[in-house]
Amino acid sequence: MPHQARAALAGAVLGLTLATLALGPALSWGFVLIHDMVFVPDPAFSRFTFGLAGGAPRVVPSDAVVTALSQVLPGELVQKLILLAVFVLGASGVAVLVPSPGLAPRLAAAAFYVWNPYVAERLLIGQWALLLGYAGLPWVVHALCRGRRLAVSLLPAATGGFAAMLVTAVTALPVAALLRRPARAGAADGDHRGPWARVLRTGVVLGAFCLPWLVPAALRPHGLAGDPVGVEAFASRADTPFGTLGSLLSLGGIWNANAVPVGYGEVVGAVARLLLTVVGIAAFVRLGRGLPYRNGLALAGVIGFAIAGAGVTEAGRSALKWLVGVWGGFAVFRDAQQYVAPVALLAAVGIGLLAAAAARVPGAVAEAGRVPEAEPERVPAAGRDRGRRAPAGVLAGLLVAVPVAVLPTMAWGALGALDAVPYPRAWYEARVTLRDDPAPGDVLVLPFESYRRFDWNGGRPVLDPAQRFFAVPGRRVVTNDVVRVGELVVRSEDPRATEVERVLEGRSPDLAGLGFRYVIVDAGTVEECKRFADWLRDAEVVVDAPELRLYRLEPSRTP
Amino acid sequence: MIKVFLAAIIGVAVAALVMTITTVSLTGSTATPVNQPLYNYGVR
Repeated sequence: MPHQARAALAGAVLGLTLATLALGPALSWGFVLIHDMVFVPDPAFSRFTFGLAGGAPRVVPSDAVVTALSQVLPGELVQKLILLAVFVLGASGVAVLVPSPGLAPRLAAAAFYVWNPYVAERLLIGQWALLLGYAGLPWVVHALCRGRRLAVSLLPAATGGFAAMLVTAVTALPVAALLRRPARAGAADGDHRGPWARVLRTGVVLGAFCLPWLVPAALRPHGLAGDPVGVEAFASRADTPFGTLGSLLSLGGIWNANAVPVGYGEVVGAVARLLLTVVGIAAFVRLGRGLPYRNGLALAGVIGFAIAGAGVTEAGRSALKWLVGVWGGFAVFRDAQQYVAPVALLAAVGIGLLAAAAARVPGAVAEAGRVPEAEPERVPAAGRDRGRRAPAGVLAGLLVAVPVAVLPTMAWGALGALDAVPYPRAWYEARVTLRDDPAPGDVLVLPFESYRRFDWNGGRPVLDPAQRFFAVPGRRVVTNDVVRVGELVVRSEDPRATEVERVLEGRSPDLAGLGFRYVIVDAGTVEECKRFADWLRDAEVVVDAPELRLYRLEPSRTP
Repeated sequence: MIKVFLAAIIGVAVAALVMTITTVSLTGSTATPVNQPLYNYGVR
């Protein structure tokens, strides 16, 4: 087996092992529902799937891919395969990218790349689509170095959608611009094009893969309206004792205090994580001089870190708010911590280079000057000094376990934060009713809030799955897309949701008059449920269970 | 030199592992904060 293939396989096995350790209970049968991670059984294609339901097209094309896969596999299995793929793709990609004749340095880098605060926090906030793009980053860099298969390497990010593609673009474009040409003019591997040609080609491919969400965004009748409040709400924050910049450098710093692993603020652990990343960056700079992608990835890291840290200062936040006010599309930079992804990649490669250097493999640096397609037999010292290398090799091997040791609470679904649960039976009954009723009319979901803490989901905050679960042909499911973060309220981007919210402020809203045939109440306090029951006193209760109540509005009230 | 450096990193990692497990064992491992607002995406 060629050395690269062996590295990829070993990385994939390690990724699968770490995925099993990290996901734990999330791999049991059922759905993991946390923050933005929403999967449903037997999803149906709807206008929402394609970003045409009124809100910004954030789930395009990720929801379409999941819906398509769920036509042939159970939804539970689709979710688990995607989560496992994040670890397998990321680990195998880094294992391929690190130039080393030995496997231990490659695996040390791979372990760091898939087991760090970035992955933990983005998992806990449920952004699997972004993580798909993150997992594909090393493969994108590898493809740029080889000058081929760029489109294939971009598929994970393209599946993820806008956030994954932007994080990938921040990495891919600098690498394409500053990629060092192969030393040998006739070398089979390596991109021999000039920098402008590479950037143009990369930009065109990136742009083509962005079309699935760019087109619906461009077709919105009211354009893209971003709320500048989101800049305050989603700016990076300090989740370690080292301030926001120190937290970002540790690859943490996500805005949401609920999306942080248990015990994350513990000082020794925080010091160890910061130290590990800094060591990785320093090793990348010092030992990676010969890497063809070294300058490009370093620039990508600087750009990514600058974006992530932009919201740290008042001036930075003001600038971002101004940009969002000018064009709502700039709101993609408000959840800025996600842009430290290239820093994670270069630190991972640095860890691998350090491990290779420690294992006394001259190839770690010598091979770095070539496209990462090195064969072990090219490295003259690989088979020598075996006795002297043994202790250092053990140390390099132990580095594989270091990322787990400095972030142990990422294990076992972040100690239970990620768990799989079944949807209540009442949800299925309600969906059958909606599907079997030939009468027209849309579906309103109450309380008119976007996030929920269902008892049946262990009280975890989750974007209401109703939009996806109750998608049936011929009906639009109207939910709110207003986002609450503490005292901050990020306004709706959906004109119909805004209209419904205005009507619901009245004492006795005419829901049938708004075009609704059904009303679902899937949460709420006792007082709220009483208020909804009062609004719907003339409606027929079709499903009545503790987890959900489905009301059918009388046809006579439908205009 | 690099070997000493690597050994130090591994030592710090082991210390971090012990400290984190001790802290979590003593303070509890509730990953989902309780008494959070019902409809919030999260808190900063």
